[in-house]
Amino acid sequence: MVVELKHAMKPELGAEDAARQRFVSGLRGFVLSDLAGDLRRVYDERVAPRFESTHGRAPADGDEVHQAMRVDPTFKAYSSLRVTAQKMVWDSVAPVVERHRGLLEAAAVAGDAKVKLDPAVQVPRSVSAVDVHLMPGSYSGKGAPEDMAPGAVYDQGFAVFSMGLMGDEFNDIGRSMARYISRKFPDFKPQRILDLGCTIGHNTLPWKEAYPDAEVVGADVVAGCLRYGSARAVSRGVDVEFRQMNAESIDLPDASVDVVFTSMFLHELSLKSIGRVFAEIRRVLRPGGLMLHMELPPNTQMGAFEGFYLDWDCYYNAEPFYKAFRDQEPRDLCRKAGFRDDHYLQFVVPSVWNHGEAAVETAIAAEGHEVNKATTGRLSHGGIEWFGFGAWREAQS
Amino acid sequence: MSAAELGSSGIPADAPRGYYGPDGQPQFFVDPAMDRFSAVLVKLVQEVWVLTERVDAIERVAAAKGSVTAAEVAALLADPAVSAAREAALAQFIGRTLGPLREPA
Ligand SMILES: C[S@@+](CC[C@H](N)C(=O)[O-])C[C@H]1O[C@@H](n2cnc3c(N)ncnc32)[C@H](O)[C@@H]1O
Repeated sequence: MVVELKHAMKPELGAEDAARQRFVSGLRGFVLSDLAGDLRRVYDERVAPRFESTHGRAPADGDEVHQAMRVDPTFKAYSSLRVTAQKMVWDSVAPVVERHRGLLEAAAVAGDAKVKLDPAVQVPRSVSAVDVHLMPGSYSGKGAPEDMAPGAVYDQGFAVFSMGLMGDEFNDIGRSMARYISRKFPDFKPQRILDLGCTIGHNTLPWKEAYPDAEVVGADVVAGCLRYGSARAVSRGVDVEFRQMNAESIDLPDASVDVVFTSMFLHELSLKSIGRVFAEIRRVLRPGGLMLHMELPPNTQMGAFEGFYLDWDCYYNAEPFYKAFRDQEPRDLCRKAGFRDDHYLQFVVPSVWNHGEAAVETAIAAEGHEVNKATTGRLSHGGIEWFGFGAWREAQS
Repeated sequence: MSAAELGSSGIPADAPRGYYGPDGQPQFFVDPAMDRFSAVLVKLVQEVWVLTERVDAIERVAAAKGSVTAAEVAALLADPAVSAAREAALAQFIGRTLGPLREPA
């Protein structure tokens, strides 16, 4: 199903737009549930046994599974359809966005008051030179830096892409993470929360809802996405500030933030860049503050098939840094940045949208931190959990 | 950005070259032209679905009134019962048209 946007930039869909989008969403369901299920079955029944009879052992990692799977007809069908469906997501919304440029600019009149752009911030090549997840023109688009169209393509694309599984405002990750933190640490009362790589703020707004007294700031390098995000937030009546910044040089004083959050951000950075971002996060965190990343779960904590399944995106969905990131042990990344091992934090939280708010409390009570192999970090109709990790900044530096 | 540039900048540095065709795009089939044809096939199925929804709209309005206007067709989009019926029909449609891609039970 295609989700209806709930703000002033909701487009008017023609009958053909609606049918085309519905088809793409249904196609993704077929690929990610039916064909993905087949993929697992042929692996168990055919591919893994053949590998074992040749090598005398099971595949050791995702790379070996990938190579063994590549010759299988089910892998070819799954992969070819998944690439096509991904491109069709963007194809199904781009003409709609073009027709609605006037509506976007009208909404920006109110939104722009809450955006702080910095023309000195350059969009890195990892954003501008790669059509990230096959989105033509990536987050920055092909037009002027302040063009809101890429933000609209992202938002409307999400309505098709998410198949209704990430909430009616595509904020399920932020809601689930903020709920986990606020329930697990009831005495923690952050005053300033920063969301790095926020794109259009889908997962920024829930932090304001979880902590109404906090000042919440969403930061990204792309001006047009920030303008769109701010117009969306104003239209939803949520008080969040959007600021153009590079996460590698955060434009905030030392020790001035209580929570630095990211979602689905690190896997789009090189390891070098992640090192610089973590150093900056550590610098801006107040003593006792929290660095929290929602991400794909790491290969080190999953089986070879599950690792292969998630790393598919690295090879075929224009996510060139995805696997290098997933090959890291998250605790090591935090340690390298100077965070103490005993201040490391990791958990798996059930999706609030799909499993209800009470499921979060149940997960906290159960202390269930194990990465659930088949469902963590993956969109399908069988249940969804999100992986989080991070570290507390020690109380005195 | 051309397809070739996208291919070379959007793929991880250590990816085996054999995963991609000469155009830099992912290659899954023996002949990279097959990868293009498979996309054409899926787009064609999509357009058949678009026609299916349009015919469905005409039939519903015509059944109710014996005549059809564009506004009436558009109004069906806002009707949750119609949406639900279409979602169910779409799942069957996809199963019917793309079913041969699945692993036999
Ligand atoms: C996958 S998106 C993040 C999605 C978003 N956090 C959400 O949950 O909806 C990655 C974002 O990171 C931004 N980005 C990439 N490199 C950055 C950097 N060095 N500093 C700040 N933002 C960056 C991109 O512009 C893009 O908007």
